[in-house]
Amino acid sequence: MKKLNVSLRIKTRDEIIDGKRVTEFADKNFELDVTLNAQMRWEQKFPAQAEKEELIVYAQRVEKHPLKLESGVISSAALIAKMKVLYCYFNFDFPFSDFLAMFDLSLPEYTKTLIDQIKNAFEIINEAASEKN
Amino acid sequence: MIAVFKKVSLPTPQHRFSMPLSLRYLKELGTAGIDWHDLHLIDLTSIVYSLRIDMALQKMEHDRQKRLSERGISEVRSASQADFDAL
Repeated sequence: MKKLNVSLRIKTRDEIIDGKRVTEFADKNFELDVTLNAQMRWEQKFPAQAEKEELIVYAQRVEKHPLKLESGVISSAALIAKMKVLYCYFNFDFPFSDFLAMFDLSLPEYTKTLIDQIKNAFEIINEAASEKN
Repeated sequence: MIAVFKKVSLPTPQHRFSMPLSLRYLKELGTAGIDWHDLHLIDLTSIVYSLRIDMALQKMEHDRQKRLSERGISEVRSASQADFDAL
């Protein structure tokens, strides 16, 4: 299987300088692991949810959730659910909370870019499969 | 009230430790001789379900044969014109 990469914009700097918050972001490439290992990570990192449903079922379910609500507000619940899926498709040795800390959802413009990147990541994962549903 | 509850004997739910799904998949794919290492999780799930359907069909066929043999029927074939004429 060829290597699959997705680009996500992460926070590279977050400091208070002279009373002002200074943040910097950069796109970083992450390698996807779409094999059975992703399901194993799902079972290991989120055992309570893994007991109820498998990763691909969860991914299909949360993929349908709109990230932007009708009011225009970003749904943090939907975003975190999608992040959970991506986290399992990456081979990280750090906890999910550390993965979430790489992003900053307080800035609307940044979040908009991140949402597009997440959507793209889901497309890459689904497109890589031979089986199309 | 407490005394009433104490008299009621409800079966205690037993926690079931089921094998994680990934290990079940490994077991089923290993039995079928399929190398799972490079397979996409979506494809792999599809294969596992196909294997299960095949196994279920085999079991149904086996059960059908067993029921027939229990009734003393060794073979089932379509009736020919000669069979109808012989009636």
